[in-house]
Amino acid sequence: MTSTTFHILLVEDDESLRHMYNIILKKEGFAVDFANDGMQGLGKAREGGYDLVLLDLMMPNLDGIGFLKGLKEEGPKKPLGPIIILSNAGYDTVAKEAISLGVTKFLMKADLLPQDLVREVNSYLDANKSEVKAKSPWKRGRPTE
Amino acid sequence: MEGENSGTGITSLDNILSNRINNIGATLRQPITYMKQAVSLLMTGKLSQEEVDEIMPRMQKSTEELFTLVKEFERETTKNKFLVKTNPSNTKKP
Repeated sequence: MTSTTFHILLVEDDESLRHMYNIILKKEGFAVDFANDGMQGLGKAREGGYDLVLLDLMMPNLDGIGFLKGLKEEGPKKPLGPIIILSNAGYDTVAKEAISLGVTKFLMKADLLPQDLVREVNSYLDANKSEVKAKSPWKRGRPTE
Repeated sequence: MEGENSGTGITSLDNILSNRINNIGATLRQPITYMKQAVSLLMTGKLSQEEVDEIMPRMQKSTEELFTLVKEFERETTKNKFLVKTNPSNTKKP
């Protein structure tokens, strides 16, 4: 069986939510890598090679906006997929700033059920599949049925 | 003072209050998010026993965290008036 996997970077400081998203995303066949705060996440994102980044906003050491600014200053070495904000902070100004820094979408964590998260993730990965695959040295795609 | 009654002063106070409420909302939503998603996952019946065993104590922890946050919020906003000065012997049960 040929099996290639989408790689997702989850930048989230809440340990319980990391655990939850890990269960949800792994059940869908995604490979999930974690960062516990913005600083660690920025280091991983700068290495690149992720099909999608799920980014929290309120985090210690470096928050989501700091992460985005840092990534803008020094981009990833390998191709990096879209960045989706997953936050419980509902400030319009922060959402606008995040979008202006290149974020694809801003999602409120509390509004999402597991199936909503999977649908959102799949919609971005499917939409970017051909482009990401063409750019990336990594193998990507969904497990074949 | 003139500044305190000016439009700018009120706007500034509004902004502080608005930011404070936003922060409280964001903090309270965090454990609720976990509980909401955990219940939803549990209801699918697709979790292994090991995953269920991992999720249950985390749900309990999130519930306790939520209670603590509400308690802290009450204590901060009432300056301990209700939580400290209430005499239990004078408190009527609802």
